Amino acid sequence: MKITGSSGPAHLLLTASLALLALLLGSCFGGASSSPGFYAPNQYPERLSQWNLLYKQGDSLALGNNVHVYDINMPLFSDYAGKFRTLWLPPNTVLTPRTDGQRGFNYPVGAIISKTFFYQQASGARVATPTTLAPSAEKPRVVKTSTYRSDGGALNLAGHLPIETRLMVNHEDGWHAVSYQWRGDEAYLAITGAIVPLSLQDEEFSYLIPSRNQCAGCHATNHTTGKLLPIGLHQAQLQRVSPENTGLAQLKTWEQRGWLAATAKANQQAMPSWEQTDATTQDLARAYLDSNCGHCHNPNGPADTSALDLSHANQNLESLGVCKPPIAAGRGSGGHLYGIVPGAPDASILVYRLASTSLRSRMPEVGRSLEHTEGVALVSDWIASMSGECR
Amino acid sequence: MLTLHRWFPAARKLTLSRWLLLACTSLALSACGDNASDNASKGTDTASSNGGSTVAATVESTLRLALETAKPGDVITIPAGTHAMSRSLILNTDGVTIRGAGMDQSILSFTNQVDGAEGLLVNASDFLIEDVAVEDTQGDALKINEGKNITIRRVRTEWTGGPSVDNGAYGIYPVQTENTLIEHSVAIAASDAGIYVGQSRNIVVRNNRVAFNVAGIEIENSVGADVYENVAEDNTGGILVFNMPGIPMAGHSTRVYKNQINNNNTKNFGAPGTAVSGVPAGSGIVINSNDKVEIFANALSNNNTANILISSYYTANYAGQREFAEQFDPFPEGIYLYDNEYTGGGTAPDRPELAALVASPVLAELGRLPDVVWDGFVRDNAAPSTANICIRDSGAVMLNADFGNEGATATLNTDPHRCDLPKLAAVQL
Repeated sequence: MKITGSSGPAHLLLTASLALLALLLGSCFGGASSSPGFYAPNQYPERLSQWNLLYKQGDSLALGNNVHVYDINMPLFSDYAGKFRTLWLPPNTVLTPRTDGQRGFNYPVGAIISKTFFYQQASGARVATPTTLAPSAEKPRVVKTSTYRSDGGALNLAGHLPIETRLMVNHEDGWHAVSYQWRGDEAYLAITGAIVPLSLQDEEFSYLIPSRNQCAGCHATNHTTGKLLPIGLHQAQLQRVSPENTGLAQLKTWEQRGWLAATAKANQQAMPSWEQTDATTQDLARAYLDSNCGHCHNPNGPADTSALDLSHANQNLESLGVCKPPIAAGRGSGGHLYGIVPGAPDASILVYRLASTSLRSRMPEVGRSLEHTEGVALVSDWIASMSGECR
Repeated sequence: MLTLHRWFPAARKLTLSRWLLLACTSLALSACGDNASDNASKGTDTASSNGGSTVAATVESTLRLALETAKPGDVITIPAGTHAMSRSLILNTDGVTIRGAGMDQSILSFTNQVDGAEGLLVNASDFLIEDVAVEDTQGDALKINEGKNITIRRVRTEWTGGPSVDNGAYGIYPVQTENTLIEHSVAIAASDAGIYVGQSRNIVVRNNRVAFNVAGIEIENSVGADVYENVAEDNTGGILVFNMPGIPMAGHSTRVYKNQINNNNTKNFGAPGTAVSGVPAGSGIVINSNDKVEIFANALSNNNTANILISSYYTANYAGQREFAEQFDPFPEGIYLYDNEYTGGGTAPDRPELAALVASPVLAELGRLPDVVWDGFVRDNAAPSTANICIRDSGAVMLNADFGNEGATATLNTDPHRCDLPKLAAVQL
């Protein structure tokens, strides 16, 4: 099923009828033979399967026609959830690198990016995905899943608990973002987001499915324009081996697929991947900060009010936080004087806020309620290796 | 009633399934009636747009959906009652009005908040909020991040347990805004500033009441602010005009006038490391590193460190001198005081070095700190008289505390500062 983007009055009845039809017929339309659809921003379907992008098939989260999995080097930490990423481009369209000095690509209208967040269930805790919104007495027990890397095929859901699938859809007026919450065998539109109580290795926490405006909280990387953009889909993040592990580089696969002109491949240096063992602590830490903080803490981001710039491009030590006093951190300072005190991670606000789980102090503000101990250790090691002092 | 003025004419655009849901939502809300608070407090936060789910709408879920789907021109009204909010509310749409039934009637309570760094976060322009209270948020209560034409009227932000370091930092918090009016509002018990305007241009803050905050009203790194006819009582510091380093925008041109600034003697409960944690309890007005500040016709009484403190960045952070970039101007310059009335104050300075001065010969006769205290730092060790601090208050005496030399040559000589400066223009919104 496909509904074109027009929302003119003449189409309203038709649109409503088709949507109702889709609702009644449910997943009948969601099949491997279909290509992803396209809906006007105010007409997103209630069920994820109606997009023909991803749908549950037995124990698998299967892919629609010409929907492909991709992976990035340094992911955002999201409470140890595993992430399953896909990209779909309309037929005969290509990506072109941005020419405005920013990373990433220009996308055709109709492009759809998806990211499914899931956890491996704790052994013996095969609690099915809740089928209702009512809070259940027993919180699903899960384990750390953030080291998951896709093999390029369908996501095997056996022993896995899918929580949400976030979509970004490129429209004539730019990107729109929304999440679908998994309940049973289907995911449902969740414009306002939701809290999903979970227990990760016996630590109870509130997993956040972001509302639409919270999506913008990270994806409006230029807070002045407020325009949403993909964050991790840029050359330095994408330069890695293909998920299909064909021995090809991921961007080479995209080129063969016709998504990318050969000439469009950027020469940008690859970011180190989270698992990379031969990268320096500094390179890993800067990549980690870029992925986890740079979408807000950049010169035009929503956190430019703090004058702290943690994006990869920043080479200025003060705005990177070195010996920089906080502006409006409030309790978030943790009693410390500077963002980064060289050689002293425990005296650095940056480490305090990355490690904090309290609402008033934790960073990032959205999408993390557990401490990423491995990430905190990385940033701490980096700060510990710095020389100098704050006078 | 929480009514959604846009929804009804626009509902035709929604799919039929959501049509039905909307009808259910409206019914559920109608049923709220006088029991709105009961309904809200019972409700778990569930998105009412979720797959035709039949979970009853709460004020929280309905308000959240209204904000998430807002269109320019929407007027979102919040019914009377105490409405429990479990997560931050976020508005990203320009031209929206949020209206309650009164700042003591329509209360958004975040006591059980489990997500989000603010109560209400607005990333939008042409925004009006009035007659609403935001209580007990984990972080900031009402934050407006980057927008033009912001009006905040009869809004109350409060931490109902009184002063505590565990309270959120800011009550009413516009940052990087242009043309901002905050009036007839109330801010109580913020662990940083009750009303904080940062990195903004063209600001009017008037007829508000701020109490039991660390800073009552703070204007920081902002250009063009009129702060008048406010009442600042029982804060640590009443009204602050600050510049912080590390921010591209240097603040100047603030007028503070016709305010009542009394008894700001609450012990500093700010988090260590924050700028306001260095404010001594008992500060009426504090100017720090800011330029072109005109202070006139205020009534200041019984602020027990001093009714007015003028300081450089060197003194502001008693936790220790901090590095800052060369382009930052740490000196307060172009400060003009006139027609203020002072009563009492200066009797219990909240800094050992200030208390020591009271005991020193220079203040022996007065027996307290005078109405105006200046830390005495000047650019390149220039003569104090060139510091551009002018005082025309009849009878007011200024202490130059000479902190650059640890108070060695502190003086009470106000004569070099009996001067005039060009008056600032009124802010035009």
